[in-house]
Amino acid sequence: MKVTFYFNNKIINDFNEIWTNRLLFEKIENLKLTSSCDIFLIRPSYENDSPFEIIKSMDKTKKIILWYMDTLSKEFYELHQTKIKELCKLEYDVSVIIPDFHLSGYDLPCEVFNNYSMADCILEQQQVNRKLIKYFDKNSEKLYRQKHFLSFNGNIKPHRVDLLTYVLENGLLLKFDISFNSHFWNQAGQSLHLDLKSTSWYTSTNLNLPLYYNSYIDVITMANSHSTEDFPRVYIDEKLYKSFACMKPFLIVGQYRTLETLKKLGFKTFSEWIDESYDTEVDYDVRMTKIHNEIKRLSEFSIKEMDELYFKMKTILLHNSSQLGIHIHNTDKKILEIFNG
Amino acid sequence: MVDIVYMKLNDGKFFNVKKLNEIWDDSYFMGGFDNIGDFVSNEINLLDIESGQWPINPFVMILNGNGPKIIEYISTEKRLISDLQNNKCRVIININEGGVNDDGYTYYEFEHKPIINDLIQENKISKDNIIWMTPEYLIDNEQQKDFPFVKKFFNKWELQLDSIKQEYYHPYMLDIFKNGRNFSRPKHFYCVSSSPRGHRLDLINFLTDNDLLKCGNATFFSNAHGEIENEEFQVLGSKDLKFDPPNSWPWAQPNFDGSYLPTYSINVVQCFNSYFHLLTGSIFETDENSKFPYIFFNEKIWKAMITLQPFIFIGQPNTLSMVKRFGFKTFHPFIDESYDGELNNEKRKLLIYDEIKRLCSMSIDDMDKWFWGMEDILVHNYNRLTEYGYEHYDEFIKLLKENIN
Repeated sequence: MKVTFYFNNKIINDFNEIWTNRLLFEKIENLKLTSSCDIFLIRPSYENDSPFEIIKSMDKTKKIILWYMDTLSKEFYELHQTKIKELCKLEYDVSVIIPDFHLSGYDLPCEVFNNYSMADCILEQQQVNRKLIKYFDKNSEKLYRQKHFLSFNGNIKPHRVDLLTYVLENGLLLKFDISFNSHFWNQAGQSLHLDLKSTSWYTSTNLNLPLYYNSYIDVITMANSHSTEDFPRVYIDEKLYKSFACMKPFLIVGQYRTLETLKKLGFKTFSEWIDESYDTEVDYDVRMTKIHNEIKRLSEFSIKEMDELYFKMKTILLHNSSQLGIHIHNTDKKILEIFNG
Repeated sequence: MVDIVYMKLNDGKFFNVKKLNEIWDDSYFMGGFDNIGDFVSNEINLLDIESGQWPINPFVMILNGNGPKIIEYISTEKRLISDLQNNKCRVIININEGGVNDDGYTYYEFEHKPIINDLIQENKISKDNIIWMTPEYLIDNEQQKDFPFVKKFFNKWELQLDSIKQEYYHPYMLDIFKNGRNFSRPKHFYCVSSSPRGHRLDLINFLTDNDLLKCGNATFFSNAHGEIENEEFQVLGSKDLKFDPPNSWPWAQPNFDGSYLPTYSINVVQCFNSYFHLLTGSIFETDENSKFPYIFFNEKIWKAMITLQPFIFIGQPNTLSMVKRFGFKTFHPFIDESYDGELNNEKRKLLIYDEIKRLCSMSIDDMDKWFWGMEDILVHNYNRLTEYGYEHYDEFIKLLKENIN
């Protein structure tokens, strides 16, 4: 039996247009299935994509998988939630795969699994650059790094504006390697460029090792910062996985309970050395204040103190570096069981 | 086989190196080159003179130490002087610090030459039997005709740095270089000027006055150990060497305060986060009317080549033309290198400063295009380092073999 992949209303025969989960798709393609299965790869930003219309024209004996490729806004999720419930009511055999972790459940009458967003691409980069990462890591034992923090902020988002404002207002710019609005080159001085070129193709999965190894802690401004107590959710993408690959400790400027989610996935965080109470703070302003305070506190460390702090965290960094592969393996295994079951 | 007596200075005294594996040090014998490795293993007969036996057959003596001690040793070793007079021996002299004193002058030019001249002439030693072989390159070999000894160029820093490159940096540098194509670099230049010297002080003043420090990662006078009082001139960036370089760089010698000179280390992270290197040579001031113009080659140029960076060399004139003579390529027209031919120190400095200003005025985007335009040159130089090392050792081996005839 055959698996059919749909993407933006079309059947696809290869994964050239797909930026993540590709290896997993190839594994699924090679499975020997007892019944046919249609997988709808859904990118929320594709407005004309209408998987539900296609599904409703299909035979109900088929296995249907709605595979979300990116984070979903609350509104988008609620819209799809209603449509999925309808499908279930019509007795379609539906499963949902989604990268957002909904910490209070998904409220769906079907199985829901979590995939990852671009962790596989970063793992691939980690493996390709294995020797160089080891080299930089060894090199790092002999040389001090220049900066306290690294922070990439390609697109403008409110929490990124808040971070940059705090950095500028508190005279911390020299403590950072920091970009801002750097996906959009302009001549008006509204961007801080760090390593993106204006003229060549950029993929966010490449690891700029010299830059990662120029600082001690990553301040990761995640794709989302919004989450509420009644609808708590966490979305993790390549920004965080890159820090694992490059063995960096981090502060998360994003949704609350992100660290809690990471720990559930087998990663470790740095509460022994960094005040991570920001992670449990649901109020955005309070959370940001806690993060800013921690940036301020760490920025007052000398480079030598930062270096010593970094090496105290080394065991955790090594753990997270290897956990990346384990996390992908575990996630893949769970998803593949959908087909084996 | 070539009979060699190898005398090395240690704690103020020369001792006789008797085991072949002890020959590998910071003088003439560096690891990583098969030709010198095979020669040492198969064609050197290392003689023991401390057991009381003086060589019977013609031999080569290598003296590895500092100028005064070497001269003192030759003067007091009568059997050696006799063998030198009778053409039974030739002495090859290495100045183990590479030849530059604290004031930035070579021992060869300013301190010991008159003394060694007297020693040779008083003892009627044939010119060919004393070979002063150090990292100073005499621009015009015609100069040598007046010397009472043979002056040979030995590019020890190039050999040392390539030896280190082969052991610690290859192929990583090439891989990081290639990966770097995906990204721009945050800084225009990188500059390490650890020991305070006049031209380095001028440079930091120039960079400060023109607000150019923001364009670079720069470390100045990290070896000054408090000698420089003005904090402004201390460490810009930071002192990047952390600890214990001997574990990685076996030749590194500690300073009096236990810290280490960054001579053998390369801050790879800083190099690959900037586009070009501002290299400050050990010597800048040159007497344009000097009878013996020479160029002293230290480690800096080779370090920039290992990390595949173009450079501006703030040092002696004609250095770049010599580098080209060795088969390396420099960066014209990407960098205006007319400064290299300017003998007047002030004019040369101004030409260099103009070029620094021009490059720092480029946007990072333009700088990136500029940098990758030199890719072939940078890769050529990286590869040429090892080729050149082999060629240099071929010449050295030839010299040692010639001595037995």
